[in-house]
Amino acid sequence: MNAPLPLLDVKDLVVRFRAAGFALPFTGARYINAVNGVNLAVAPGETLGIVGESGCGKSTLGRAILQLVEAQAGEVRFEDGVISDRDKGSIARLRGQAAMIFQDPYGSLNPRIPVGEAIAEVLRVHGKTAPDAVPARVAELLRLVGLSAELADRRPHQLSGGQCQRVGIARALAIEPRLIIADECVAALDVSIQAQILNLLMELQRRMNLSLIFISHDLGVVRHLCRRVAVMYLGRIVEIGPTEQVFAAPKHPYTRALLAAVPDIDPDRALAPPQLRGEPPSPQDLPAGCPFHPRCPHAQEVCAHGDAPVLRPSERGQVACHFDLPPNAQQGEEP
Amino acid sequence: MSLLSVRNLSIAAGARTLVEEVDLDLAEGEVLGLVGESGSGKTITCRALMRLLPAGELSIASGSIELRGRDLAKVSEPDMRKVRGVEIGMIFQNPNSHLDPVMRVGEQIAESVRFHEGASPQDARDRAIELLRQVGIPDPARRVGAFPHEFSGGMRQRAMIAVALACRPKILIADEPTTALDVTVQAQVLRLLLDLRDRLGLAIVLVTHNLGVVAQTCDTLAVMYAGRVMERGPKRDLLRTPAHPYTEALLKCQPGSANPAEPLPAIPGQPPSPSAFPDGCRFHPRCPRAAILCQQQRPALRAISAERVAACHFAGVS
Repeated sequence: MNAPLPLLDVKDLVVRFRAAGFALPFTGARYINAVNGVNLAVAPGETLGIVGESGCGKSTLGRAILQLVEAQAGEVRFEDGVISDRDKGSIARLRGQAAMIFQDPYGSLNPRIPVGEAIAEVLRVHGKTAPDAVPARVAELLRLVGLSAELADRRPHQLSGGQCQRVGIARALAIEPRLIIADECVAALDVSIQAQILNLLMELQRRMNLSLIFISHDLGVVRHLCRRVAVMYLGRIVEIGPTEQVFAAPKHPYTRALLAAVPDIDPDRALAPPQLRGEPPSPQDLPAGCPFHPRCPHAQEVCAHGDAPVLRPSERGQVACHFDLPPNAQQGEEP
Repeated sequence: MSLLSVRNLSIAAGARTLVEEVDLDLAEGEVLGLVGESGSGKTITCRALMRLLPAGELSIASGSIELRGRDLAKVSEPDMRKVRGVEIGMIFQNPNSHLDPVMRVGEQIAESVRFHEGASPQDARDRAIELLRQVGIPDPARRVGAFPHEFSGGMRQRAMIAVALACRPKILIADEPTTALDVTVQAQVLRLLLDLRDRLGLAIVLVTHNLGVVAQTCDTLAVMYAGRVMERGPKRDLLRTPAHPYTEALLKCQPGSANPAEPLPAIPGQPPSPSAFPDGCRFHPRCPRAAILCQQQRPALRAISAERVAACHFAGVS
């Protein structure tokens, strides 16, 4: 798919959770199908956005890549090694090179530990810094994310949300990662602070040639930050391609509906009539055929049967739809 | 002719003033957007309109809230109970915490009809079914007996709208009504609010931090920062030619409007905490146009054109 060898290669990844509650007799346990066969490759220094609505499996996918949740099937390769649950060493090596930034800046820091200590902890665990050099490295990391080194003694509640998120980024950078997975890392921030954090991420990504997987429900943010974007629906990637192509000429009917639903900041565009009825079905009872067919305005008989359509090449991207929809049926918005 | 008219409203927590000198007007069928970041005072302003400020913590320090010739800031609590739900309805961001989980949805709608209008159980139930139909819930005659957990997120938000509209109020206060929803569902709920406005002549105060939502739904806007209104006027003018530097900065730092891959024009610093509002203009520490005057003197809201006001010393000065 990519000319250079990918840094991360995900093949047919499947993640299921056992549903809460008691199984009824004879029906067996019920499962939540969070990720249903995802293929994904990320090149060194590439920025990939993963978008989709809540419950589409985008966060679970990010966590499964870092082996924070167990995958039932499929394979994650990092550089050339397969990351496997049976090989604890492979997981340790992966986590020494791939870090995660979480959504809730307060929730992801221990409230009783000063933030400098929270960063030092990462340095010590991964042993990338000599013990006597840790304080200097902590100060350096704080400055790198735009915080004064004096804040090292503060506890999370003494910092603002934006400052805590910077600490979260400093912790991720502490391991000198090659890949960062950011899961809704600006969703909890106000727009003025969100812009600061996005600028910081973009600058660091470029300066360090980081690969970035940016998981977000906010299409505007992804469009700004990422070169490539994957759209997920009910645990599957339904469309993936270069950001400008996906936004300007979306191929999958779900991508089109998603883009059309984003309220435009242009006051002269009237609110478009909603294109989709209803809400995504529960990942406990996946529809047969294409997972999107019950809500799809273009669904035909074939969409309701058999296996879900697989990703096939379309222009410079890939789309998982049986049909080639005419362009301009309704295009995504232009700025 | 304005339906609701707020003048000089200030809200205090003890000695600290959290919201200061807010003026708002709402006409019949108008959608007024109240925009601002967290901590700007938009939510407590709305709660003050309903007199739902947490007792003992926050209180209305001064100002008036005129609704049909009556000042809601001064009416007694028993009288206020006849205003809530009957003249002003309110919906919130999170339907889960504002719907009773152990009460059937239909009963929650019927409850206020029976309380305020003394309707019979059967009539109230019929009204509940009708309201569920109006807010677009399929199969309302069956759904009326469902519990909130049997509804999806979008349907719960619709159910909460039905509860708020049960006694046919003329004003609906919607506090971040779509923030917890996915975009495709958000589009449905916004469409519903506009349909209700058209059908019932409902006036809506829409509190949101999302400028896209504002651009698509509101008629007029008030932009709040650090407890004060910075700018107010018709939506299109405000978004096209913002007069206040804060409005302008807020619009510029939206990721959708900037050039991809270039740094966003972020607003430096962070909003002040209510315990340490700066002197002079409260935006001056973050303002690109700030001058000495801005540190010393607080700009009052003043007219910059027929329908617009802005609180900036330099608004309208090029």
